[in-house]
Amino acid sequence: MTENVADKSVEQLKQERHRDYEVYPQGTMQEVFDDLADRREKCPITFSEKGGFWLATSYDDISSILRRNNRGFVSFPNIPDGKVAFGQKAQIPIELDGPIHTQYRKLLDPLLSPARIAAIEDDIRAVANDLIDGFIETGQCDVVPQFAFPFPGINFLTLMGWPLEDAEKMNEWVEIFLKGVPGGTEEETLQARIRASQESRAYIQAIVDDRRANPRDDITTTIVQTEFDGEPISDSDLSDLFVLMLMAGLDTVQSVIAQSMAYLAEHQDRWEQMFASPDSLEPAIEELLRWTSPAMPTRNVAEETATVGDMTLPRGERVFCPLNAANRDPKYFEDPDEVKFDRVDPKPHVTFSLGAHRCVGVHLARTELKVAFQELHRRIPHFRLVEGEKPRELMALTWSVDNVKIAFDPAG
Amino acid sequence: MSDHPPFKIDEEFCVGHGRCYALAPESFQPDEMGHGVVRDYRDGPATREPGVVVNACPESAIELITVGGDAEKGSQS
Repeated sequence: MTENVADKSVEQLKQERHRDYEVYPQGTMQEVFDDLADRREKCPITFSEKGGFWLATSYDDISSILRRNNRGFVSFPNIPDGKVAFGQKAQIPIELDGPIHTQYRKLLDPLLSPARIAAIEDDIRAVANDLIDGFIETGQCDVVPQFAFPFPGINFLTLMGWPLEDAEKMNEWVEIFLKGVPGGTEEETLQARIRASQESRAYIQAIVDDRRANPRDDITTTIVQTEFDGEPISDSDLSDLFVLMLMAGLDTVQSVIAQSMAYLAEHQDRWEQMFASPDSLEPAIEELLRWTSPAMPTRNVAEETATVGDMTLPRGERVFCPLNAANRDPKYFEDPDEVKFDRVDPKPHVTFSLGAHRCVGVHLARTELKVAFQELHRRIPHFRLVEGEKPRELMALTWSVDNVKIAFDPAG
Repeated sequence: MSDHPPFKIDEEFCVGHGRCYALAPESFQPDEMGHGVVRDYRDGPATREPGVVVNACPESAIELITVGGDAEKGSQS
């Protein structure tokens, strides 16, 4: 396969390596993982004519591309078919590159540093317990709506210094952004999204105006007062940034908790193993992060050419890099589809992506997961799936599960 | 001379995953961006094999400088 690659035109390569990929697949997650494994073995970078993108499947190719952001690749548009969702501009900051992206990261990274997150760990723990209080006496929990979904949302409000009593309102908007109107028509979903967008922007604008008039010692004030090259961030950019921070932090942590709880419901020995010793939890969470891996970035060749695997691709070519494909490469993870808490000195997973766009909320996410599992385990030492209920797999630009209904002995 | 393994962080590649100071807090600490910094002196006994710490960096940004001056680095692919 590798002979004479350099002599071939990109059109020839697209033909030779043509193998369509469904970004919104039908079937089961395992079927998609089997397909990705088959590609990795036969031809690790294929071209999907449908959507017009290359699909990378190996750990080495995906990590190499992600690390070269700003060194030959850019992140906009961060969607495999290149079509910008809802016609909006580049999303701040995940679709920004170069110096403006660096400015945003210099602003945001210190606000989400390990020390900042450690300072709100007790609040995060209180949020987890409040949510558990809401269902513990019933002996049942619908994990996504009753815990995994509201938990990161309320933590976001805590972090930003926004009123916690607005959590429900915020959750409704996010639910509409992410899921639309379940069972509704496309038009109903579109209308609902427009309404949610207007309402959330108005809400955020009121917060921005308030912080301008009455600065406080919170992250929101710091961001509102920030100037890049002597210019404040515009209201519209602030609104985009806050919505993106909320969504990016919510969708992903929700997915890791939901997939983990669905798995652990049927593997209670693993639930015990996670807490076998004080040192057990950290590597177990890393393994669950590797295995659940919700995000799927796309990178775009931004220089005249860039090396992708054994090929040289021209400017503008898009490469879809599902992080879960890298995380299930058997070159580094034996039995990659298995959850194994005792992997020795494992290769680092790429669940938080790599390079310049490394997840800005990485320290928050790890703390949220640690606290969530600790408190869930403390209060629900044993659980199972509700009989007859099966988690539903959701595969889109992030992967998740819902309908994770668990049952346990009710307690106080 | 510090007394911990001769770690070196390549600042060009470190983006602040925080694995080094999570796994070997005696040898690394975060800066205000959350990027890893090698401590001047080891703060307590070593908790991990140096090679494990080198391999744990997702960006392969940690090197172990050997006595002869050669660097053993995680594979930056």
